Amino acid sequence: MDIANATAQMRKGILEFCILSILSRNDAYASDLIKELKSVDLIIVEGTLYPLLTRQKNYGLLSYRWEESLKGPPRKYYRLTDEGSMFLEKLDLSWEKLTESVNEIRNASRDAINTDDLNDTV
Amino acid sequence: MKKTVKIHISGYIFTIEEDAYDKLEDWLKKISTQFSDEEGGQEIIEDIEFRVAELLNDSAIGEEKIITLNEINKVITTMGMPEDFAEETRETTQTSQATEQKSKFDKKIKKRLYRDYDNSLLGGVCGGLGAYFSIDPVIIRVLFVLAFFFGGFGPLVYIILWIITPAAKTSSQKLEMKGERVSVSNIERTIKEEFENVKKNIINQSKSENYRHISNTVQNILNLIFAIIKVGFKVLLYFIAGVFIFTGFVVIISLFAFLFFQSAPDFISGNQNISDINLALNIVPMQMSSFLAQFGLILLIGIPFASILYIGIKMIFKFKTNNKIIGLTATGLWVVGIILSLGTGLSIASNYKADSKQIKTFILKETQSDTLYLDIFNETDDDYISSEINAGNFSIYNSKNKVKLFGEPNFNIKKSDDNNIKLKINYYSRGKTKKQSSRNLGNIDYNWIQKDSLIQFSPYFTLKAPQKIFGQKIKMTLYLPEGKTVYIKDGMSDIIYDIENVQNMWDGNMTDKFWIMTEEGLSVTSEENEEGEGI
Repeated sequence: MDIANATAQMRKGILEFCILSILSRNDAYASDLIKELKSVDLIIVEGTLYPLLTRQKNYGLLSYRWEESLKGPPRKYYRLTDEGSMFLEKLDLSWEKLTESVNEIRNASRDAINTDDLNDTV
Repeated sequence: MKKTVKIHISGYIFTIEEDAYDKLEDWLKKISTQFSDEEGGQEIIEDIEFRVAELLNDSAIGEEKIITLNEINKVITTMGMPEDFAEETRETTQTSQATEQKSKFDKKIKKRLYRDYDNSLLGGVCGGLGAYFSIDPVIIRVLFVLAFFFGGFGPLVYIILWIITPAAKTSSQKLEMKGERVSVSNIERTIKEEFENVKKNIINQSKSENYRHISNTVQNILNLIFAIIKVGFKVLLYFIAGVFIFTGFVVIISLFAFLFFQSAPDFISGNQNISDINLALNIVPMQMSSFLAQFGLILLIGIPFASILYIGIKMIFKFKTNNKIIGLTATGLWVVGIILSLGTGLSIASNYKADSKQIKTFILKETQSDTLYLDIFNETDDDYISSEINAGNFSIYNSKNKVKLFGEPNFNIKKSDDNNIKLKINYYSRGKTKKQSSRNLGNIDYNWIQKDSLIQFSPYFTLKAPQKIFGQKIKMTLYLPEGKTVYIKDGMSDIIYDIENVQNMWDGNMTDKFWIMTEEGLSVTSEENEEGEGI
């Protein structure tokens, strides 16, 4: 288990969560999603997004429609399905629980390290 | 200067430099390898291509902007390499599957027989067989073509194999066909070989999903019709190629057998067991060496057939060659052949420009009986008897040590204008100059003899000095006074020629008969006449 793989697995779950969150605000097409996710450094390479979108669509969380574009051929606009909204609510809940638990553990670990450090210096 | 390509991605048209195109294509191939096997994979690939098109479109400002390698590199950095996002996007269940599969692939893959469409001329049977036995498909094709000519079971076997063997379509099938391990790098390599497929996909995927459905059906039908036409065309091509190879091969082999094997000793060891062509060149007067004349002839006939053979082989085996150099060399050699042959022809023809004629008339001695007996010599030259080759009015005797020509004289009988029996002999000959032609006349040697009422003729005339044909001819006419009788013996049938007679009898039937010169002309004597008519 290497670090790259571990963060990748972590980011994968978080990414799916964030895609659903963005789409819960309003419908978007892939490039909009990329822009937003890139601005917060959640994706590094754009290629990451497409497999996730397709899989979420196949699970029934998303649907899309074709919309004419001024700049080129029609684009795929994604929107959250009802199933997707419910899924997002559950994810929101578990995210909160997760962050809480993670923070608690991390704080405890940090405290332990700090006390260890203090003990060493004493 | 750089070559550019026009490409079509997701409804956008781009002009792209070739190196950039190669890079993009390589990258897209990697993407499709990554996703093509999973559910919805095609859609992922389409979406990614759509994004690529968008990014390129943003960077391409203005209508005729050309996309360079730099821009493609930027796009690839933005999108990422498949391995960059593979781990993030792979489903957890798949990861475990993948590791499981990996251990399976470590075992050696069992080879299976497929048809190799990437390496095909017809149905890919030979390519597949080649892959299966790890031999060059060309060797298998040669065997099939040979089987076509000897026995003809080749096409039947081919068609059966075509029907029963599946085509290797997927990457793993292609690897199985070659017996290679199915690993990511191996698949990548196989994918690279699918140049045409990917190119087609880029164009196809540009269409939106809705109307692709309809156009797919139409396209499938068109593809089918195309495939049928293509196969028909290929069969025709194969047939033509087969005929070309066969003709070329046969002609060249016979040409070489004819000229080289028979006449090779002629110019290597000086041994004179010479071929027919060489013989012909030998007995014809010319100023050129017979070697050059033969060489010219080989080139003149050989080059066109060698070209046919070459084209036929190229049609089947499609190897790469420098056509320009080969074509120029062949044309050059052929022109040399034409020049040499023309030179030979002119050199021969120049020896026939002048002609001479000589007439000798002999008055025959008085005979005791009224009947003359005409016959040929009984003792003839052994060489004459063993000569079998004929050229015009000459028989050619050809043995290890010498060539000897025997000319055939013509003999005619006409009514004499006086009471003398006369024999007129006309000698004819040609030559380069008048002088030479009369010298050639002098070389003609012909014998006849009168023994009282028996006149004997030689069945041939010979040439004293050079055994060369200069169109030498001998025409004899026996002038017979009215009331005289001749008996034409059987041996005369060789030399009598077109003798006019009252009965209009053909030369071959005139022998062994008595003929009397009447006022109307030569006529069969009465008792023989009845017999003759009775036949």
